[in-house]
Amino acid sequence: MELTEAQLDALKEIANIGISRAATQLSLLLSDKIVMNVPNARITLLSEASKTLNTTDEDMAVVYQDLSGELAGRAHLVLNTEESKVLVHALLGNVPTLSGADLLAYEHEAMTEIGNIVISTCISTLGNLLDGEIFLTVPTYSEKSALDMFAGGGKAKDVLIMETVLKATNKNVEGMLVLVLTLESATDLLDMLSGLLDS
Amino acid sequence: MRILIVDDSITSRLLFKANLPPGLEVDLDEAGACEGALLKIADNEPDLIFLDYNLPGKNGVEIARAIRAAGCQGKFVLLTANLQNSIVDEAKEVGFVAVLEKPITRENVEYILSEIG
Repeated sequence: MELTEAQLDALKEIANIGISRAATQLSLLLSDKIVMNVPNARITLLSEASKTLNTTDEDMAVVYQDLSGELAGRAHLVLNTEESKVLVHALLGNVPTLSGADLLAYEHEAMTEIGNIVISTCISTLGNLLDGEIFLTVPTYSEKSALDMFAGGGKAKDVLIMETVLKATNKNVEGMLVLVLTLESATDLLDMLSGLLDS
Repeated sequence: MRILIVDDSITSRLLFKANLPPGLEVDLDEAGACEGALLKIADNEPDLIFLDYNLPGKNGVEIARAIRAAGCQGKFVLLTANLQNSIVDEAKEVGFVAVLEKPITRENVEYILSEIG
């Protein structure tokens, strides 16, 4: 499936609206200015998806939620693992009484909630814009490489990827919001956008 | 005022507590899911119940139904970043009186409490 310039532009704009709202909430959460790039949108093989993201082979902190309903796919908030800790401690402060596994569990739990807020805000904005209902699973935290993020979804499958970089300027923390939609959802989304533009 | 917060995220519950107005006398209970919430209301019926929407097992609106069926007359507030119209409408049908949007801020909590507390 090839996207036309007009379709790409429409996808970037809808992603921009959802992610901008998520960036606003992240800004409130961290009391920091969040700068975001213009979102990228492209159709790619799921097995090739990791190559199109600006990441290294190292494990990253990933919070994801699966989508179903009006749109099907998966939304991810991705951070470098060390930067995710900076983010968590910026939010909750240091907990001197915790160490080792307890501290790790605390950091993962907090990171999961940050991901939940960012992803839910973005997806609910899209749902309302499309006048549809998108169901979200509870958030899952994991540490994996970009390659592993997209493993297991079928190598020959085309997907729509929309992603942008979010940066907390004062805390110097950078993350990515990555939305992966099935090709069927991408087609539906383009139809809905076309309908919205026509109306 | 007796408040029950139902959220599977410890972080979220921590932020809620941290953002309660200073000096406000609150008897606060916490639960992470439906079963815990039903136990808490049996022990200490709350005036206000803050419910996250996206929870493992029953969602926040389904838990509200279960709490009401158990006879609790407390007011429900939806606590979520997922503000899809369909979810807000579903919550209103069950009798939720307000929505507290995540992230939780002092300003938001104060506003909700002043409006319905």
